[in-house]
Amino acid sequence: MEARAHIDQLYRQHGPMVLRRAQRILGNETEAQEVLQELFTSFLQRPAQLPEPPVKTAWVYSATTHACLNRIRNRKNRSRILEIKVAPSQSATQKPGSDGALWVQQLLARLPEDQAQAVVHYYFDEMSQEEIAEILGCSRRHVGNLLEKVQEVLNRMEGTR
Amino acid sequence: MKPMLQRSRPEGCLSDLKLDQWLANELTDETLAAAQSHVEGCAACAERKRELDEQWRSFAVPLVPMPEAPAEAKTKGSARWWAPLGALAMAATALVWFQVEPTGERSKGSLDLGFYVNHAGEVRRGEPGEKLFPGDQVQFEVTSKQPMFLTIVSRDGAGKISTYAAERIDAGVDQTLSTAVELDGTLGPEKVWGVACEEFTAAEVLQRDLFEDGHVEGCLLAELQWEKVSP
Repeated sequence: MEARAHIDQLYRQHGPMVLRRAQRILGNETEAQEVLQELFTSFLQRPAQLPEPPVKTAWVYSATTHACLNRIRNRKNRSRILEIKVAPSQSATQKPGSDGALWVQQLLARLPEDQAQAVVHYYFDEMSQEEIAEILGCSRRHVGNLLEKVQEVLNRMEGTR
Repeated sequence: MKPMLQRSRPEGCLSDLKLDQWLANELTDETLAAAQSHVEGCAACAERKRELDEQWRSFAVPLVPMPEAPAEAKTKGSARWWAPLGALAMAATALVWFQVEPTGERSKGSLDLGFYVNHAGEVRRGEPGEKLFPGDQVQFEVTSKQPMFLTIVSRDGAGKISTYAAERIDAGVDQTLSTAVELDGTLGPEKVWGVACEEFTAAEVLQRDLFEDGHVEGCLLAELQWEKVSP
């Protein structure tokens, strides 16, 4: 029960943050709620994966980012769901910005893990390169290189749109 | 840089990580003093901190259950999406999913499900029962009188159950969903159910209710079918 109480506390402290970031990364409220449940269910089932308490915000950030990026990749590989539009344009019923969200999902799905993490932390979490370096466990220079590579991918995607 | 990847706050502002660490009382005295000083002079960071604080205070998502109490996963109503989402649970429930055919009953209100199909580059509105081909791309559209959480569940000719889409929909007519599906090579009749619930329901739990009970309590149900044939 001690582990359960610890995870309950972790959930109350960090659950809102996990949900908010998952919504931002996945662009989908339903999937974000599933990630929230999956993540904490995983902690309950395998508490040994948690670091020694107190669990820091930065660690929960990393766990959430991994869970979301895995989901994006699994979505692409497993479910036959296409990131395309088949039906004719129906701007009257489309939510504003849905094309942008779709485009970001495509980007995250095609980037290597470290570059996708850099995108999430830099653009979604608005972290400095120093903060990203700390959370990824690498040098600031390496973070700069990751973001440069992302920029190259963005340029190529721009050329094919 | 793409507009959707622009940062909203200027360089030098506090990151969400820093603000979250602040709310979690993880900042050192020195870092906290610097952050407080910055926020006092920065409207954007002050607003962002207020937003995060408000989200934390209003968080009302129930706690996940103890893993050794799987019976909770069978609970209906507001507790149903607490269910653990493990593969074992899915495998176990799959054994009974085929015992009951979903009835298509509508508990209240109405939900209409339609689709468009892209066959070899030609897009047309799909008709229930029509013949489709492997590789055809299908996008669903839905009409609902109220905002709901919609999940699209399929059972193909081989009996394989898939979730094609799960997203929040607004009240409105002929709303196309944001994702589409490409049909695989499994031939035969494929049934598709749209399940719209007022509250979020995890796909695995929803599928279990749908195929165990034939309906999902408190949710609207719409269905359609096509025949997947060889080209």
